[in-house]
Amino acid sequence: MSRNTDADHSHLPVELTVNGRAVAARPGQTILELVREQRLDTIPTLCHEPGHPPFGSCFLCVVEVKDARGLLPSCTTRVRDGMEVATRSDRITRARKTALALLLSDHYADCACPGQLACPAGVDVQGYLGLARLGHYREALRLIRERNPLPVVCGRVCVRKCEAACRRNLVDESVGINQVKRFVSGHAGVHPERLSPTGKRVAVVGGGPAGLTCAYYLSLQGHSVTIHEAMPRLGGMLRYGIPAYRLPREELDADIDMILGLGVEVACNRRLGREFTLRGLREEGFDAIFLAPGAPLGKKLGMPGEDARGIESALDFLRDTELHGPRQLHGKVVVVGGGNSAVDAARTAVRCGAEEVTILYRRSRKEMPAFHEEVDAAEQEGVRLTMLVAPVEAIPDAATGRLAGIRCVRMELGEPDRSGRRRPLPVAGSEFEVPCSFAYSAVGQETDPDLFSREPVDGRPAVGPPGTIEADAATMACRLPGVFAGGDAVNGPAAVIDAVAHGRLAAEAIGGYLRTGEVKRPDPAFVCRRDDFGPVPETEYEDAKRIPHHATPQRPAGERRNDFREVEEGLSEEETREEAARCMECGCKALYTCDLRRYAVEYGVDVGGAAGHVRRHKADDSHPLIAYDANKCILCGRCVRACEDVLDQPVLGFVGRGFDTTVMPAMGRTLAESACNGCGTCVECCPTGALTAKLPHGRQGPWRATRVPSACGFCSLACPLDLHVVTDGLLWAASPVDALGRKGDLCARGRFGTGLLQSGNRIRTPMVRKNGELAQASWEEALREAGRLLTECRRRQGAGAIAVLAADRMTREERHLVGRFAREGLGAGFVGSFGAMRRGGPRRDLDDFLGRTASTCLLEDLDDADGIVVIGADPGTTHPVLGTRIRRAARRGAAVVVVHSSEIDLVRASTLSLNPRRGTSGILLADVLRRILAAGAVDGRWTGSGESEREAIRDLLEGAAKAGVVRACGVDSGKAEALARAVAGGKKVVAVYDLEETGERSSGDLAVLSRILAATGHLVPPAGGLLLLGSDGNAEPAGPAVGGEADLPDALSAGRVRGAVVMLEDPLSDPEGEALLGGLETLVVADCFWTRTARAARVVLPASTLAETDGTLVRFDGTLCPVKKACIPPGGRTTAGMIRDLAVEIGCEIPSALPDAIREDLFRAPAISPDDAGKVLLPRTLDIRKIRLSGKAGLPVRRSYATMNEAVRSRLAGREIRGAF
Amino acid sequence: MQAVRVGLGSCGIAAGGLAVQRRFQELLGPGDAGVTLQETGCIGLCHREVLVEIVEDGRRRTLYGEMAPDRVDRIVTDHLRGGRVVGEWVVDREGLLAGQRRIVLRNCGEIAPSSIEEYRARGGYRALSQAVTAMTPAEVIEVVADSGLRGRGGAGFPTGTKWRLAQAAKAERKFIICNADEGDPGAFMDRSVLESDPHSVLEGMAIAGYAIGAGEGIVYVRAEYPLAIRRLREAVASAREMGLLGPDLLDSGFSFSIRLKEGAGAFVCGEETALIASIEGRRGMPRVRPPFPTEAGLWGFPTCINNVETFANVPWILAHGAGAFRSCGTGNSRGTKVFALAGKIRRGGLVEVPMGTTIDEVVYGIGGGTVSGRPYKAVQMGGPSGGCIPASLGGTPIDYEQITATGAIMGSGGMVVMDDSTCMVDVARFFLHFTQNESCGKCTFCRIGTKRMLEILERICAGGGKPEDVNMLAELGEQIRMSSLCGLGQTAPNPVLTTLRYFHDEYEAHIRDKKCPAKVCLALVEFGIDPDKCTGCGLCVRACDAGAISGRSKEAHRIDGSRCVRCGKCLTVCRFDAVRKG
Repeated sequence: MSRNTDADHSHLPVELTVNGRAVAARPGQTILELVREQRLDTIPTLCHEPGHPPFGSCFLCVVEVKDARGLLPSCTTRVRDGMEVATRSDRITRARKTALALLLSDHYADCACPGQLACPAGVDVQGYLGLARLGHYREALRLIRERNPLPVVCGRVCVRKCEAACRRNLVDESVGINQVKRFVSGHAGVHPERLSPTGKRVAVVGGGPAGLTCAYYLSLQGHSVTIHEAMPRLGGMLRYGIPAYRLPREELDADIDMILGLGVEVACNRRLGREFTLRGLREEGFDAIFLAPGAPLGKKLGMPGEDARGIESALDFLRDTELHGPRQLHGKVVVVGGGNSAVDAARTAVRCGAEEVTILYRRSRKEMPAFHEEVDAAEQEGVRLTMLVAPVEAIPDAATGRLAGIRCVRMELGEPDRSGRRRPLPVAGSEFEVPCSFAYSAVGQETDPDLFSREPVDGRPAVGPPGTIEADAATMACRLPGVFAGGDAVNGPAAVIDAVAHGRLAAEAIGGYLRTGEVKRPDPAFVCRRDDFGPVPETEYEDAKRIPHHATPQRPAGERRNDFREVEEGLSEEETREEAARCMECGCKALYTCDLRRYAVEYGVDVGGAAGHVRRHKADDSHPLIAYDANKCILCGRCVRACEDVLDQPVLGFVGRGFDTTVMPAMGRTLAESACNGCGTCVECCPTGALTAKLPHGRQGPWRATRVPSACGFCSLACPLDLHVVTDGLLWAASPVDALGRKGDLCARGRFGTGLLQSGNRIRTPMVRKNGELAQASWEEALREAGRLLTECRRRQGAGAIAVLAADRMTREERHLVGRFAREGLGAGFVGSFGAMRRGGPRRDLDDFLGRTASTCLLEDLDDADGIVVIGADPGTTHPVLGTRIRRAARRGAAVVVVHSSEIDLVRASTLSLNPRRGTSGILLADVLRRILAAGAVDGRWTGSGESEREAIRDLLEGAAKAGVVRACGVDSGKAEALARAVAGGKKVVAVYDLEETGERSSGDLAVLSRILAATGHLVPPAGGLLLLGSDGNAEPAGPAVGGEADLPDALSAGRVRGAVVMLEDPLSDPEGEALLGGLETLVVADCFWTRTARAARVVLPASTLAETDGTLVRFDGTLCPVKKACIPPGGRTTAGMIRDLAVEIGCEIPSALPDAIREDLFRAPAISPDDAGKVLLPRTLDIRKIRLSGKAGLPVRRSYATMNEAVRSRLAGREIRGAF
Repeated sequence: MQAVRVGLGSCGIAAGGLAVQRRFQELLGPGDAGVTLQETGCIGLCHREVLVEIVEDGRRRTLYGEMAPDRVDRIVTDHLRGGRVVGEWVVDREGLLAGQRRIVLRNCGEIAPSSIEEYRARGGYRALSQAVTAMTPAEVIEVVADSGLRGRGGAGFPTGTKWRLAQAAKAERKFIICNADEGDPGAFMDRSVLESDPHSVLEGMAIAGYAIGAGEGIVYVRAEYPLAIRRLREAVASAREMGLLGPDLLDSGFSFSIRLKEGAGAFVCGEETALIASIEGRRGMPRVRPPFPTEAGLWGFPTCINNVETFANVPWILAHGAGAFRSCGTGNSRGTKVFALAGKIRRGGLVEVPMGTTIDEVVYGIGGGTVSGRPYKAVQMGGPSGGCIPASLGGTPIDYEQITATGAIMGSGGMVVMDDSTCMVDVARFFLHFTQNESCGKCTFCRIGTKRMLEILERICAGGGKPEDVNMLAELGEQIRMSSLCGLGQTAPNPVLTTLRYFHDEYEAHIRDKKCPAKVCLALVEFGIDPDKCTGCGLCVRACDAGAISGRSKEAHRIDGSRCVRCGKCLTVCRFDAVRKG
């Protein structure tokens, strides 16, 4: 904001070199701007807010400038002739890394939820819990499948490392993540898209979870995959190791079928090392091989007598049960081991009729690796647990040679071993015998030792210690080129999810290998974790609400021990959504947008690099729309500056000094207690997740979203915005961003309201009144009923008896269709907006003067005006973005004059403010016009019909002014003179007047205002203009008037209207509307929300919001603003489609779309062009004598009857947000 | 005629000057008609406060030091009434001021600060009068540029050049700001000048205003300097009254007004852009330069900011000519420099020496060496932004370039003398702690980087130093120097970097040997009791929370090193100097 009058920069380009390349820059440009604009490189920065003056605090954007003392921040260094700039060097990288490491050393934050980080496959737990909570099950399933193609299986048998890591454990109990997954996995129908075929072939050896997963992701990449499976069917241990009562086979097959549905080929009964060899696969033309043969062999107990009949491995027992059906057992059964296989074998034995089943385990129950729920379930089914016992010898029956019993020894626990568990030691002399007929050993698994026996020595993959295949942990690549391995064969026996993780890693690496011939390790994932700064204390969750966990329902033990049907039952939809809602959303909302994280990945920064003291703040959750977590704040100050830009006085500021400096509202207030008006600009500036928008959906994601450019419909400004769409009904709005990163303005309604429209009180299906009650109906049924009612009404009462009321807020296209439907279809007598009618109908004040009552310049004309007169308007409140624009103009030096009866917020930015009494501004303006005429400085074009006319008007004004401005308006005459001088003296003066500010309106005000502008030559660009604000998206003067409002009240009160079609308006919520329309026989309502009017209707048709339709809005200055359909309306049909269908129903064919030519016609055309300027003549009709104290006080409150606005207003207001909407 | 002048600068008041003044008032009765009681500022001999000077017939001057109310009686009876000088309390004024050259401090302690007449009597406001009546602004700037005066705030930017830039800027309004936000711990030069000779600063500002075409001046002064603020207010009022400030001053057609702005004591507000932000009512946070304040400063208008000492030099230069000023000093550093001499120095206080005087000359010649009599180890110059210059470089002349070459900076004039009982790691930690606390928090490196450095230093002092710490300090320090927006951040690592450079062995001792050679870092010190001095009084036993001290009553006690937590309480409570650090 330099007031240096010597600011005349040379306009010759500056010549310099960047990275050795000669470039020409604009004088005064910073290096960062230059590099970005000309795309010379990408320079990282966290504190720079494009479009704002340089700040220079993060020091990430440093570059080298030849002969400079050190590195220079490119965001603040301006270009100079002959400068030699380098944007990359080791020194620069080091400095940037240090800066990032320092910032991260004080960043007490979780990037992702601990559950996701604990999941070997990295499934986006928080993301799918959120989607499930909101009922988007298919989306949730799609998200799970991005990382795990076996959701049905894992929903039943997963080890649930996520739940163990869940932060909810610090509050009460973990979220039942797996239960949610199980529920979601039952919703089929999401088929991932497969890339086009690559022609590459991959052989997957082993059809267990690792092999299936790898096959799935390879297929998605377009490779053709063949699974070679040793067993008759796919599934590996899932099928042959896990009993059906835990994993019903039809469920397993659901996952497998989904994978095979991608075109994966399967060759069963082919065992590596027997039916085929690796070399053979190569010869068959496979380009890569993934080995996932598993560890299917049970370990021996290694004790005497083990060969006796009746002893076998638990794995064999389970596999046999699967292959040949349950066998009949008798007598006592002993299972040795403490893992899941032992419990599975024991519970299977129960189901096979064993008299008594005992599990022998050498440690105590606490150490058992099996799921504790499974152990409990086994006990309920009658399985006995004998702990601290180890078998030492099998005792065969002397006569038959069959097993008769097992000699055991008691154990005691000694010191902890490497696994952390206490080592069992035999107790001398404690041997005893356990009689039994069958014994199953479940003490470990091994890979098949003969897998590679037929391969040449140099064609065998390296095999590690306990017979496992060696593979790189990041790529699963073996030492043999093109051969990868995963699953239990690499890990040793592990969980399903570990195998899934291997399969996916391998698929990624194989994909890369097939594309490039090289195996590349994936970039190390960067994750910031609160745990990195020490254990997260439970006290942080003191305030968290305790919510009971839904336990997994199980069938009764007495029933389930007799069959193999599934033991565990899933949660209901209701329970699932409740369980998903228990998620505390610990992961960062900005996961996908965080710049700090992006740069940390790019520069490979180690989180612990500069560890030290970390600040721990309590997050500020007070504000209804914005969440602030100071822990994630990096003090870049972008929010402070953006807030200052919007409000002039920032809500957020730097508080404290040194390391403890914090960005927060002044005086220790919370955001809710501050003057924040909820515009959310700060949220979009925040480069991390410190400031985040509270999405109106109840769940915050984070989710990846698609951007759809559109426009806001909440006021006549129609600001451009971007819709961020996750899926139908789940979206939010944000400012549009240009190529250089500069953001557009939005206010709270635009930014937060657009999302609100998608949720809440929506009308989702057509409804028809039956027996006095509204009941759901099909579209066909509802349309037929509506058509019948309207036709009937028309037949009985005549065409003129039906009124069509439609909100101005609808798109131009929709309004056009409404007009044609009404006139051509219904022959309706009254078509118009109830809201506009209640506000006094369209203004005609300027029709005789300008031909129409419309803005004469564009919004953009404010940006270079040196004088702005705001009169009868409070844009800071009603059109906040316009308020911001005017404040910005004031900061760059424009003189802002405010004329308003109260102290509106723009007064602070004004150079002159006048407070005429309410309803007297017309008198004040007449006085100003008189002064201007008296001063004689009158624009030549306004001479119109000559000096005599001017004199006449001057005389009239003299008379009018007799009332005395001071007495009538309470305005000091000096101020009136100052206003006259301000208007007359400016080079470009734009006046802003609000057509809907009924409280401020006074007779003649707008008419005189326009004459003042005309007299001073400021009526049209380039010297100025008049901006007329409206409340709705489509300014009346610009759009084709649907017409006829003026007659409507009369028609209604005369009882001529007998039926009505009401679209997106709620007249019945207004007493006058209720009186006029309350008793109508025929009422068809189309709306998005359950309004009073909708509830009273005979037929209700769901309408679409602006995010669900294509079309255009007309800005208050006539500019056309396109809106884009970002998702499908919940009712399935757009409003336009619905109108068309309704028209067809009553036998009228109206076209489906408007010719583009009409849009072209009106696009960005101000109502009055400069060419018309000369034709603007002195009016004959302006009767100055009519300017008097207005007796007609307007409505005290601005009220929109358009229900979208109402819905949002009430919901935002319900959140007790300060500031007006 | 006799005049009794009581030194009532903050130092004099702190030493009890007001009580001395009161005693004089009580004792001087109607019989002492020829005696006037006056107050004056600080002459700089802070180690001898309270100072009272008796001036007889305006000529004969006797300076008494360490005055106290009970000594006043004898001065009154013997000297004032009896004409006998009390020899044992006399301070050798000339001897103590030997080696100094008093340009800035020319009136300090010599005049009553609240008397504009006394200031004018010593030639005050003649320079302003001469400038506005007989010189063009360009000529004034020419003289200042010729004199070689450089900014005394620390950075040493040539004053004439700055004025020229400010003059060249075209604008409807311009400002002069006097930076009196003296923030370095231990520095009090500016305060002393403001308290003792406020008019010299106002006159300098007015001359500057005339030179650059500014009509408004603002003194940005710390609220922690209440006396300076009071004297400034008085001075502004009396100057305005006499037509030396305000509209059309001295009937020259030039108008210049001065107002005060009290700063709330943020160190960073000494940085000019932060200072401007603070005056504008915003948080004191530096901003990017350019544009420099001379181009777009306060409220966006061209603004010339100089510090107190710079302005105090200006009237002298105009009165005596550029040549007189140039003749004093060396190389590119001309004139004198005022230092606040503190630390382990025998004669601490305010001194003004010609540029080019060596550090040794200041420490030994003017300061009289260390209190202990042992050689000094280093001097810390430039406050938290400066560095430690070892005694081995004591021959370095005081000169902007040469001081900078040592890694320290000239700074605003803090000079802390250290001897072998000062731990250099601890000194670095102290200064870094200061800057870390005072960082405005804007720049990443200054906010977090200094914190991490401080943590390393704290770790080293606590005995947890790791061998790689030294490199990390150097590396981080270098990065912070390069990657900070303002002087605070850019110079914050200096105390660490200079001690690393000159006292590397002390760091090594802390880290490798877990010893603090100066026995300052308590965690690295062994406490013991000298059996010869211990009387067995048991005070230390009761004070020790760790229960590490034992011994029978009236017999020498012992400290159990394994239980001692090195809190140092025993050291504090022992009345017999028996507890030793080893």
